[in-house]
Amino acid sequence: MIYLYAVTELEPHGFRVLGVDGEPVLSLPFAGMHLVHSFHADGFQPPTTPDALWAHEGVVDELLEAGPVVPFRYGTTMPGRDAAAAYLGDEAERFRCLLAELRGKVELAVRVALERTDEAPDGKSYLRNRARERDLLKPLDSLARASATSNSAGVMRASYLVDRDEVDGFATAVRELQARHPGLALSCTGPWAPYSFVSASR
Amino acid sequence: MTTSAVATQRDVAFVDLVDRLLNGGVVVAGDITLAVADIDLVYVGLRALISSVASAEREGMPLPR
Repeated sequence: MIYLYAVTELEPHGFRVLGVDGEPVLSLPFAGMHLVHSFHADGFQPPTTPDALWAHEGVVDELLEAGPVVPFRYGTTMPGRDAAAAYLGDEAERFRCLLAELRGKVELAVRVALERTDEAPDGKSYLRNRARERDLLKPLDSLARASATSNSAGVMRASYLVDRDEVDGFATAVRELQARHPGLALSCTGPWAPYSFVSASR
Repeated sequence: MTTSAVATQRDVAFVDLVDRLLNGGVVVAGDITLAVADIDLVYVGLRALISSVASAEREGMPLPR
């Protein structure tokens, strides 16, 4: 069976890194694009370990340096190249559109640990807190092409699709935000492949 | 930068990595072979991380990668 990493526009020419489970990474041309994958024994279960996740990311990261990438969710496998070719044939237009949309862009991740109080807030202060959280990251929106946020367990997580040229400016904006709100725990990581901007549920 | 600062940055990046790899990316219907139990295992480690990240980040987080 094969494990899927990503679809690319440019043909990859060899890989510096190994894939999930230490297997070599290969590419298969289809409809003018390229499916990046590795071969594994039937019944292979992608391990849920940090090393395996970083291995997936290492491959995708190397591709991202060269050009636009549409990454698969971790753990995506198919019975073989024939099944993958059939699937990709059906979905070629979708991948073509995504690649065009993502050219020259990367994803940046911002995480804010929200202040927690022990007592349950009344409705009014709950709403006020929510509004404040929403406004907090507003300065970053103008630097991004698109954004997605979610909020759980006291952590606000945001993803931004940013032009490659804007990454430094975005990082500066995050630092300014941190300086303005010293009590807040703010983190920014990236550039990532646009994982948060390719899933159908967007 | 100290060794522990580097490790912390990698921990922070790992939380973001897990978010992206397990919740994002193109989904091929019916072919995600990860067992739910496995994902839960990853997330158990993650909650521990999130609680430790806050204090470490006050020093300011440059883009680590």
